[in-house]
Amino acid sequence: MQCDEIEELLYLHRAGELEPGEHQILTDHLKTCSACREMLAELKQLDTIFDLERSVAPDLGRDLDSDILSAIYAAVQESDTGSMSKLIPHWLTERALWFALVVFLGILGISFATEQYIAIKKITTLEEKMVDQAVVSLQETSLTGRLAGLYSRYQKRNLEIGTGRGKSILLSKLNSTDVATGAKFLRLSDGVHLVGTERKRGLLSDYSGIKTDAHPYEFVYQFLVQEEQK
Amino acid sequence: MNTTKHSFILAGTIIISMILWNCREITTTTKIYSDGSCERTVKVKSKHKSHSNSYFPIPTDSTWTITNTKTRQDTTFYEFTATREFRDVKDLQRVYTSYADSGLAIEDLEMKKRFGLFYLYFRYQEVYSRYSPYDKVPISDYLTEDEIQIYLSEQDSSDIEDKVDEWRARAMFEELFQAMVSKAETLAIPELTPAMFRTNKDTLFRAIIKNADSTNGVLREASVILKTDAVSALTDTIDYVIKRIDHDLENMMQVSSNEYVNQVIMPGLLLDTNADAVEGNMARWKFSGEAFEFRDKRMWGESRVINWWGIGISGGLLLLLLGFLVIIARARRP
Repeated sequence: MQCDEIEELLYLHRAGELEPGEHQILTDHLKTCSACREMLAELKQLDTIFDLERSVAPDLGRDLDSDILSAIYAAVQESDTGSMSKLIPHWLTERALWFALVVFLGILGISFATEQYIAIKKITTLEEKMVDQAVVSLQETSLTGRLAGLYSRYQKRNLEIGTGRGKSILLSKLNSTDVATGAKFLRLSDGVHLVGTERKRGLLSDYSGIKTDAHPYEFVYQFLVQEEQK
Repeated sequence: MNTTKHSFILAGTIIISMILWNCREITTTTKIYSDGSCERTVKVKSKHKSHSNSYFPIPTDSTWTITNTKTRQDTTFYEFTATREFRDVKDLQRVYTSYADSGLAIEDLEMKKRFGLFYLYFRYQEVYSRYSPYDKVPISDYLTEDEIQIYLSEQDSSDIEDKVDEWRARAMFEELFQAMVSKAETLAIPELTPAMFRTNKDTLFRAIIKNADSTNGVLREASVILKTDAVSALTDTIDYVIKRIDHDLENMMQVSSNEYVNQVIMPGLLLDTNADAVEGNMARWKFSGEAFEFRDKRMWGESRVINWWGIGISGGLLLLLLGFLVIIARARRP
């Protein structure tokens, strides 16, 4: 056989795929052909090198495709959550954020409550001060005198007591100034509450004949003057 | 004002002044906006069409929108109205500073803004400065603060009224007395020494207040008490001082005879004020000009408006925190 035909048998031999007859032919040829023997020696050397590389990276090549796919999958996953996780400092935990949220809401709540408390306190003081200024003129001895003083002060300063609370402060001050006429003040108190709404003023107007468009204090004043005259 | 009781030589002037200048009602309304700008309207109701000599800083220049018409209710009265907008309160202050020589000074206009988390707070203050040309005798020598308050609130108290009259008379006399002493020092006449004046100061006061009604009257009383005719050397000085007192008193009467109303409309909710009355977010002070004779008239109000910026930033921070919470919860999930 020619050497080029023997070369094919050499490769088959290396791969372990020689038929028994072919093995005999190759052995006989190698006994007489030094060139083919050298080729066999070179092939064995190459096999030694490959064997060494396999021992270092045994799966290289064999699992390449699956490795690439795994890497791509991992990268995709990392871009979703893993990289974000790396960006977030370790101390910024979920618990720390809940704590911060609670503290922040607490600060907002306390600030709001404080601002509201101070405002309500100031408004209440202002309301009482306005009422006090109205009561200054009520040092008259008679009820009608006090009411006249109150009404004239109201007219003079265009004072707006307005709220039910303001009226009750006013009445408590009136009550505290003269116990002897408590009964009259009670009527005054009833009167003020009675004329608090237009409907009630209407009812009282039918009884007294006082016009309903009068200011509540003026209404009470006129009503009590009439009552006293009776 | 019971100034006639002791104001020796000036009784006639006072009466004339009262007739000339009484019954001006000056209403000043200042609307403050939440951006700090403001609008002021000055309304004067009086029998005089012109206010150029009113001795209260009433704007009459063209930078104000002015109307001057007879009132509908009473055609014998004129109603003058001047309105102008200002960038801020300091701008308003600058304008009033330019009226400084027109009499009573609007001494201080101030607007302070304070930030709360949910509200913006405004504090406005306006001060009408004290106007008393006779400042050589302090009011505190005669009246306590409480007594001044009682006097100004028009409560009946003859004791306090007597003290006020005494102070006024002493204050006016002091102008005359110091001028006479100063002139005596300059003249250096042996028969008319400053010491003679100082020794007889109280006697001079009583006699001049009671009996003198002119320059000649003052000279007559002084020559009797000091027992010298050399007082005639003081004629020009006494004449000059009396004319000055006369002029100052006339100006003071202008200020005192007016009725003043100052209204300030604050932005948002009115929280506190030293006003006499409150209507919604408007604070109102009503007083006679006599108040200026004793002390500065200090008027202030405090209000608040919602701080939308603060609420927005707080809300943003809250959303940011919640967003972080969601992100971290997802990121740290196994």
